Amino acid sequence: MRELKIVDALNEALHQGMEQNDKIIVLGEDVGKEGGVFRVTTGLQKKFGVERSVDTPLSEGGIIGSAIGLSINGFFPVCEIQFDGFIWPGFDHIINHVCRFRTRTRGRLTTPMVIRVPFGGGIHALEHHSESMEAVFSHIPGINVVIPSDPFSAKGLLLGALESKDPTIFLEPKKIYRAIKQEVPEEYYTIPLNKARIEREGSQVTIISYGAMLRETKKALAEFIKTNPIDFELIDLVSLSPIDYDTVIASAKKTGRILIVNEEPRTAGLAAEIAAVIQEKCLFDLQAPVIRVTGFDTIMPLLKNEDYYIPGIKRITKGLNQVLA
Amino acid sequence: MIFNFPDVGEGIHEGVIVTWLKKVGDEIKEDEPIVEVETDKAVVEIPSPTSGKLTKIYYEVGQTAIVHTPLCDIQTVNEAEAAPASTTSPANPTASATPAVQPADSGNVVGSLEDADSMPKSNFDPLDFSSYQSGNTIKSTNPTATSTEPKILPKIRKLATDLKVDLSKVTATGANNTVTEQDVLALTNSNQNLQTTKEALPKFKFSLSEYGTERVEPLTTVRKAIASNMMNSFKYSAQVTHSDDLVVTALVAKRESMKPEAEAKGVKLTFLSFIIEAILKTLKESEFQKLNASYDFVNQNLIYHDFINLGVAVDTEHGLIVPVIKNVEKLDIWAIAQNIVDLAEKAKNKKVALEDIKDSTITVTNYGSIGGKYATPVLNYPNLINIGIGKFDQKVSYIDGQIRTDTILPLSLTYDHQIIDGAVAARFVNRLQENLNS
Repeated sequence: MRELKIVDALNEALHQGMEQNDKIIVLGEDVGKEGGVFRVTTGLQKKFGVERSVDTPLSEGGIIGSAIGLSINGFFPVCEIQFDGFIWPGFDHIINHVCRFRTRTRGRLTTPMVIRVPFGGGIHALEHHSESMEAVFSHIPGINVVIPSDPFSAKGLLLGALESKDPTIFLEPKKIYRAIKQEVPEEYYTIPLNKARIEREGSQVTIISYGAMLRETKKALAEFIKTNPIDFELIDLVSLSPIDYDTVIASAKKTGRILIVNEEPRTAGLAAEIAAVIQEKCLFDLQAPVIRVTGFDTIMPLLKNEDYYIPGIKRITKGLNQVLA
Repeated sequence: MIFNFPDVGEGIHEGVIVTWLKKVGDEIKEDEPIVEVETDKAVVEIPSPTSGKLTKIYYEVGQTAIVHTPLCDIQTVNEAEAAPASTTSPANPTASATPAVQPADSGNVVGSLEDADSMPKSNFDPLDFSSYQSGNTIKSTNPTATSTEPKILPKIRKLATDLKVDLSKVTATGANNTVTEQDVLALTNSNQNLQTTKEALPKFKFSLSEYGTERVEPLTTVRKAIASNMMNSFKYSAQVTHSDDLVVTALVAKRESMKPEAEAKGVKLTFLSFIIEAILKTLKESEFQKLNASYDFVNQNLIYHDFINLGVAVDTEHGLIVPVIKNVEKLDIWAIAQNIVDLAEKAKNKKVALEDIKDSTITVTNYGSIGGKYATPVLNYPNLINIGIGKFDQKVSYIDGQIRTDTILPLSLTYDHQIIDGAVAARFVNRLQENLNS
């Protein structure tokens, strides 16, 4: 089987999705002729025309606002937000309309769409290009939030999102857009949006991560097990809203030790939310406090300092030692 | 790898090379600045995206470099291993203008992306743990995960560890098979057979409805708390009561003499205030300081307090309340008197805050104001003493050929015999009498 990078897998998913469903319209800044800043939409305009691959003005409010109108009228818009930090002019539409139409109209009108957002830090970029604001989106009722961690899940999840009847915030871990090559089936396949994936089953400790941090976590584990041959369970959370608590809780009950690794600011984050639910449901099974390895409660620093901010092997290893103590 | 001039900021398309901070052949580290470039807006240092060796530069100082076109070549460690021969490229004058290998179109990116094609395989390969075998010796499932095991909160585990109680021997009596603090404490008694399980309780017959109708009244919160405190007191202490009649004739005279001043101050100067003053004075004497201590039976320590928090038992219509005057040792008799009045008033009006009934170090019980000479006050656990004040009385005695009438204070001192010996208690009461009349 041929190997693809995440960018190529997403591009293939868009091609196959648009072939399958002629209501799908891609819109965003430079998505047409240019193929998107990261080239995820390459070739779509050539193949499906300017009406289905639309270059928009620099207006995230306009992109998401237009998508609401399109989806209510039977289209399936796929918005590309150029960088995570640019989404906020469109946030009003997300929190006030995208997530609400089903409830507001008692199910008469829905807003199925995918809002693709390159996500997270680690690419030596400028301000507004490296944030991890997943908790903000996960906090909003009425939308799915998912994040792939490799090319295989990227294609399957995006095709899954393109079949969803509800809106999806599709976070794309930009640091690993091109860093991982993996065998990806050529045929059309979908991955459920609300399921976590157990990367490795184990009995001693549960490590939960997602997106680009899953790769860092794996690197840290690969080092750690050389001297500590622990029987770890590794969970790729995949769905950040709703969180697959069936999987998380079962694992927490089994191992009694939980480490959560992500790169968001610490306070009121997704890791805190997971920790809260675990203590509610599994208090008597816990053998150690739930440990979080996260970013800091500071503004995401500029490129020179970003590696101090994003958890690396050292901090993840420290977390492993803490949770196993 | 070919390092393209990265997009350094919004709208910058080109920049003039100011200085090469590294020259061809230099070893460079990831993020180490390679070159200074002057753009329309600023002079910026361009950091290296990777570690390796600088093998080629595409622009000389003063030339204008275009964003997203090659700036220099960096030979990564992996490339060096893979193709050591290719490090020296033939001196081709046209090669400086166009790179030999055109990089794949990876987009108009701000910043730089790691690319699997320019990384050693192990770095980009999705790390695969399928063949990993964990150590056999430590492979175990969570011992708490099985559902039949009693559930134990961390706080209780710590208590068990501190008390050296074997948790496997503890019988869980809490809801949903949880181990309670009492369950652990039950095993700390010398008689390990003394179990407090529900099954072990004798079958009391509480309801006698066959004889007539009955009314069931649930206990109030206050009453439940009183009941629980009383039971704890008997469970954790060895209570003995020492009683005596204290001659307080001189005190009566003293109080009479102070009455005008009390009236002027508007303070109700009760005998209780004088008694408390004398208790405080006596407790300061070194032999009696331990009466104001607390016995931490968990760690087998006696904790001496250099302050006195005095609990005063007050009868209210909702039940017994023991408001506490904190740091009473700092107060003069007038302040003590005022505090007693205030607290009693608060207690009767249900205005006592939780803070006001906590953390006493000794207790005084003034049942004499209602009636009765002697009693066996129950320790306000974990206090070590509770001083019961009986109803004042007169005593007629015949001393040195003279008949003499004295006012006496019947006093009952309950103390924890675990810590306080009987002789100490007796001497305390003797000294208290002296201090009452001084």
